[in-house]
Amino acid sequence: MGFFIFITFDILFPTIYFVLMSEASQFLARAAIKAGDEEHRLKIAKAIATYNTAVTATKANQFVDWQSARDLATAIKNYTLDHLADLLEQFEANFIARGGNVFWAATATEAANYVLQLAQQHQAKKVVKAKSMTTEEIHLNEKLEHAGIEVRESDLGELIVQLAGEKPYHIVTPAMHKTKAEISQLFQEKLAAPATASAEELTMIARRHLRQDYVTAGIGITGANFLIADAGAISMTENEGNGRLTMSCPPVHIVVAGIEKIIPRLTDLSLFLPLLATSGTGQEITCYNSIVFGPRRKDEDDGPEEMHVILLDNGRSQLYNRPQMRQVLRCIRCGACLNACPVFRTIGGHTYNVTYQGPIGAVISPHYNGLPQYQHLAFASSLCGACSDVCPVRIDLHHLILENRVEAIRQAPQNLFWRFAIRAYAWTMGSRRRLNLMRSFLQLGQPFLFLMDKHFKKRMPKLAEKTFAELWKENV
Amino acid sequence: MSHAREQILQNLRMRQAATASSLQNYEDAPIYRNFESARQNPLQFFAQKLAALKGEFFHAKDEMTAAKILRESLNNFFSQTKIVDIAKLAARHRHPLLDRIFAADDWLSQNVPMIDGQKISSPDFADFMVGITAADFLVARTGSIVLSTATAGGRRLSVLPPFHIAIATMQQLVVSLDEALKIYHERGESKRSSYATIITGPSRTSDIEKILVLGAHGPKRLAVIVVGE
Repeated sequence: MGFFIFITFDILFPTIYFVLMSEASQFLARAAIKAGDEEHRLKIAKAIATYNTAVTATKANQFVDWQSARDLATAIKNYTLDHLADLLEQFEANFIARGGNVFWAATATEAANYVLQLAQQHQAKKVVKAKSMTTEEIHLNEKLEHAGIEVRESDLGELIVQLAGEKPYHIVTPAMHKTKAEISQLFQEKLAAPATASAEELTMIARRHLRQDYVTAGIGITGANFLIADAGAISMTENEGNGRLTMSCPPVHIVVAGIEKIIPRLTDLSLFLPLLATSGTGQEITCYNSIVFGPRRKDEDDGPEEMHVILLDNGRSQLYNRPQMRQVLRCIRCGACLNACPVFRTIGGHTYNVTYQGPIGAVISPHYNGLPQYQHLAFASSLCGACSDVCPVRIDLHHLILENRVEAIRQAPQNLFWRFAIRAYAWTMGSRRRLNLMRSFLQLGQPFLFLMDKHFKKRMPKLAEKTFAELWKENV
Repeated sequence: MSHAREQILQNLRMRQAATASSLQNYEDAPIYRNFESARQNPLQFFAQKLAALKGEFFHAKDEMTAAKILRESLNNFFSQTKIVDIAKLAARHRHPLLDRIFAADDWLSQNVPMIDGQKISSPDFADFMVGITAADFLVARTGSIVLSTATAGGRRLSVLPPFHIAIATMQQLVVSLDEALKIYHERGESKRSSYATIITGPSRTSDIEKILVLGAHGPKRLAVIVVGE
């Protein structure tokens, strides 16, 4: 009997409930769990404190004036957006002239299908990948694995989340939520590696594990941090060297990049590379910044015989055509807004359940993934503006979040209770007399307020003895 | 071409601003605080930056000295790794500067083969422990090395072996990145390689608990020898 009750109430009902719950209510359920997880909070707080120290120092040491560097980058990105179609065509023409292939993908599915088609055409059994959020966006790994192609993530953080069967926790730091002990446990289970408490030894385990993959994979797949119009080249930023190996060894190199990644000139890298490194990790410039102009030339020693760049739209051109939203296409995916966001730090990256977490994710996810499903992310913000303050290309993130909120409310079915509640609130706040009456009313309820403690998971505050108006009269 | 291409471009042209916004020209000098120090003494600044990034810096007044430094550096590396037979563990490519340095030292030319990247498969390549390459530029402000396929013997020689030694002349030293990129871009199509990379220190990662570890997937050790006065 007890077992029957256990099955029904502890397994069956919660499962049915979870399946039926909307993405929004699941989001709230996950957020409630993470917000109460003290160990998680400590891990994230520690990682972000390290990041903050490095970023503050680098902004001050490297730049004469960080604010004017932001202004300059913003101006260049604005010019780029004003001429986006022309610059994309310029990139395409220059890249094709050097023997590269360009594929335009209107949707995530088109992009993923094209990669699969190339893999099958080349009879690739294994692909090696460098870190790329755009490939996450098009769910490339699932697509390839489903077709029986082995996918090897080569960035250390990406390898860790891939082995754990998870999605990246953070667009720049995919394994931010894992401790050394957890990673060692994972490597013991999945790679039969010896236990260790050293980050260096863990890194060496990953190095040895992937060493052969670079030289045996049929295809190398990377993202691009920048598409350079006047050079017809892609630029890729990294620290580990896995990206360089991915575009050097396999016979085919595929790049998946959003159409907003364009910058006009090769020389613009002298601003954007330090800007991205400073905001992304607090480095002056990252360890490796590679610029790929095309496949191997006949007179060159090595390099891929074939190179493909996939230009992905997937909702971007729709954002482009909305005057308030266009500025979000300036984004260089540095991740600074995630680290600055008090909501991200509390609920963690996985709670968002989207490719791009944090404030930038709250702005773009509903437009990339189909509007209604992810509109709730616009409410996962205190609108404090910390994200807009740190953005290196001055995207007004918190106002764009508000913009999404307005849209969500306009499209939501009318909620009569809320309409009434808001009107009642406005009416009450509309006069001093009614406000005072409200206070007397609340004071009557004060002894019973503790009943709400459990629901709100906190001790309900006491009403002040005297109102501000009363204190003012007494003391001034 | 494809339907998607026309569709995307059409969407982007629907509301393309009719503004006359122009593209600003700018230089690194007024942007970066350390530009002036780098300009005053580029070699010293480069050396400091590279050391801070845990790279090794050497200055040789001529090719003879460079050969001596290179030989010592290789001997140190191999004595640390306790490998006696080093015959095929270091490799270099064909390049005028490297040719002159190797011609100056019998031990080097006997022990370090000159390889032809076109003839070596990647699995074989992975056996080399030291890659010796030339470079396109050294960037003082950031302590970076810029190299491209044509000057560095391909894409693999500078990244697969765990120890990368880059050799450049004083004339290749520039103050800031904008200068290097500008010269590279103006070289023109025929002289531009299919691949260039800006290397700033040995390979590193902070993916585990934000702890810095050197030698993630690229070279764990990086040395730069600058030749000339």
